[in-house]
Amino acid sequence: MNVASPQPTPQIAAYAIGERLPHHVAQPATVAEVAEVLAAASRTQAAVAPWGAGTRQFLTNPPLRYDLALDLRRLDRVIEYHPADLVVMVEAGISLGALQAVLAERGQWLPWDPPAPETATIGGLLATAAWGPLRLGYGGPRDWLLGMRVVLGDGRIAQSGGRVVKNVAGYDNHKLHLGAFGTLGVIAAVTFKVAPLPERIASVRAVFATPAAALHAATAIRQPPSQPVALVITVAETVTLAVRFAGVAAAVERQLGLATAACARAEAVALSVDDRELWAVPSTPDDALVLRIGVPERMLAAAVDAVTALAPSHLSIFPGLGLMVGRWPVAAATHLPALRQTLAGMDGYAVVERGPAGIDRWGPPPPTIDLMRALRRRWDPAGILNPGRWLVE
Amino acid sequence: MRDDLVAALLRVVDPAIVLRRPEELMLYEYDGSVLDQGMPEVVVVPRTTDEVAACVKVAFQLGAPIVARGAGTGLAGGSVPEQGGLVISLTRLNRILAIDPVARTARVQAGVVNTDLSLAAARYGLHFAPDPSSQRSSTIGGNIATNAGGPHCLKYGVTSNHILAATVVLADGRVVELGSAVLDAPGYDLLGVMIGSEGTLGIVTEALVKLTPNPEAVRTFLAIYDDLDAASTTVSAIIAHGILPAALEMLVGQGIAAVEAAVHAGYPAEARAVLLIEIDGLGEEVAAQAEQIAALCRQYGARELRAAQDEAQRAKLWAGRKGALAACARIAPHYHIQDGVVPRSRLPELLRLTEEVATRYQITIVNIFHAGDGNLHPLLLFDLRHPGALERAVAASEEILQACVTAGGTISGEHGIGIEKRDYLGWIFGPADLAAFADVRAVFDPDGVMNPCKLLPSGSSCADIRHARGALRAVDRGAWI
Repeated sequence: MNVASPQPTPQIAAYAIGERLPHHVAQPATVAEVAEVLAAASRTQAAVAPWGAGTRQFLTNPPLRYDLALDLRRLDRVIEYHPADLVVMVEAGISLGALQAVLAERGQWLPWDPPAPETATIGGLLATAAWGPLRLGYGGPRDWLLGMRVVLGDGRIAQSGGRVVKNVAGYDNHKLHLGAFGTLGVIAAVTFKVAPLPERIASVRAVFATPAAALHAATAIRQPPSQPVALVITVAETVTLAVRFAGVAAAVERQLGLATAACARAEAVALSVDDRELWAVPSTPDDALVLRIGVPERMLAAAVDAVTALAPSHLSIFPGLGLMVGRWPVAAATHLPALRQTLAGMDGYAVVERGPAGIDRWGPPPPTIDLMRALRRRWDPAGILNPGRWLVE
Repeated sequence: MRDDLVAALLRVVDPAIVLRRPEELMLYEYDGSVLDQGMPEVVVVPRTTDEVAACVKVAFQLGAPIVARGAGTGLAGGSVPEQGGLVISLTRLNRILAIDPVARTARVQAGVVNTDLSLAAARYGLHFAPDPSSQRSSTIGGNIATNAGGPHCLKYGVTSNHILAATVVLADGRVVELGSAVLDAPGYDLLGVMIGSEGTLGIVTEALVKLTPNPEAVRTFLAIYDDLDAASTTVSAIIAHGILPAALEMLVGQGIAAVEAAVHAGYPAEARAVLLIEIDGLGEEVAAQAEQIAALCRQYGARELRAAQDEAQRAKLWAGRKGALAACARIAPHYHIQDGVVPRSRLPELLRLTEEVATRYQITIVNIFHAGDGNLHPLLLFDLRHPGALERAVAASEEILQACVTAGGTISGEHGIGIEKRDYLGWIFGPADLAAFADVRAVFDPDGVMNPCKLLPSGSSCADIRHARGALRAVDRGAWI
């Protein structure tokens, strides 16, 4: 294994988080090596930032201490793939794009479309609870995860779940690591169930005069029998609704028709058959304030009003998921406390996905924060994993 | 202990919810499993979350074991008060608090019966997707505690895929809300470990659940086989072809005749194996899948493929499947049931092995199970009055379960670990894995009062105080697979 003297020499600068640079970079090639690194770091109280492709490090605060970047990209093997069982097990450093390519050769996929799939690693995407518009139709990665092998903060290697689609043996510990931002352990290997690629995928795009008109159409589009797999309203220079269907060609065809009819009041409607371009997620500029906003589904329209009143430069609304992602100039951060108060009245929240240093990223902690802290102390007793970076310290 | 516990409970809750006469307690000494029994010291039947919390607090302070119980249909001993203590029955918490047809959710108390929720949601064209065979009795709280499955979880996922939030009473009586109506609220997914924790981390008293739109089209088929391998190979082929039926069930051998005798649904009593296949979705999808499935059934050797002609016939076929365990009482009076899972492609060899084991141990084994998931339910039938029958059944069962593990599978797909499988957990998890599970348990329940000695391999603090196995109940109408 290589700690600070590898081939090729790791560029320390490539592992910057905010202004901070690590003292060392480790690039383990096996799970056992990851365990060695974390056990040693725990003994010496060295602060570790687990690192996938680094595409989502901006989601949390820069570390208080940063001794070691733990680059997991050499753990990039497909361990087992059983197409006939629709199950795949991979090491966590493989990129989602590389995994999808392997699956596509057998006519299968993981219906999961988070940003930057070509580079972002499975481990990093899971640790940061990354998702994309397909979550509407297929659920999130939590619904596709069958099992996981994790190296806990103290270097113990632990697994949970299994390799079959149904399993109630032991606790579902793997779910705890999903969205934990590496504060409980480092995800080392993951088993997913996968799905056959749909026969056809196609979309309708429509331009509306107002967000309210688009939301109205979105509600109509979601009525049974239609089962859109993705639905987003983008509010920028124009208000655009995009809806995606997947499945048997004839069923997709009928749903495209129903969706087009539901968009009767739109200013313009376009059918997009090869729609990959339409659903590619654009990257956000570094100097923006980006908020992820969640509300109960029935509060979505009211929340959209509250958010659009703050004039975001770009807003994506996900009807059916109760989620929004909005972008503002950094100066808009002064509105955050008031917005949080409004959203709290709807049982909602706003999380800062990108923002200026020192901003309160998560708002008030959940009432069960004591349980979360107790769990973290069990699995990362030395507090070496991403110290100061996330909600649970 | 018992007198202290009763006295302390009577001080804080309405005496009407405290059961302590022996004839009352006896109703709570068993569940749907057969090998395990244990007498509670006292039982409470609270009507509110606050009453549950008050009772938990009392037991916690006295260090008494606390065992939550729904309808008691569990098949692994999870709700059996093996170590005595307090049983909290949640069946009076049986109100559906709200159904939100826009968000497609329902807020329910833990004691709501699974089917009752789907019946109430039907007026909105919605249903609660998890459909364990016990669904006419089992409760949402119990479904959550065991992460219940059911035939239709092949397409729609298990209980954990359908729970958004839960009100939970923790070991010390504190009431918390885990999860949220809102996606991705920051924090660890504590709800994720609570589901399937069999009452060892807390007691769910209320839940916010997802409701699923009823499909536009449904078709149900019975594929009939004279050859076991042909049937199991068809199952593997359907999955391998990328077809995801709503349900794909298999009935083998003597079980078919027993089910038919019970429900007269048109199951061919003389067949070697049948597949009960259901597909649903949009009309076009169902039409396309029906053709593919018919072709595969023929290709892999089905003697005949029958389609349910109407809803009544469909309901009858399902009644037969879901009532299979009770129907098998016709074969022998006692049973032991396993719940192993294998990769779908390994089904043929596991079914062959099951038959071989049955012959070798001279025991009747009926397999009526969730073939599409690879979730076997070998039902070992015997008569206790025959010396050695129980021992042979347990040995046969362990051999089948070992084979599931060797094939890359697991020891329980949906019934849970409870008492029956806790000592098998080491077959699939190493010491470090088990220690990580124990860590989670210690976070939620540092004093170890919540359903002690269940789910994880029994430690030195867990004396085996199980009652003698001589008192086994016969197969009856109160159990489902």
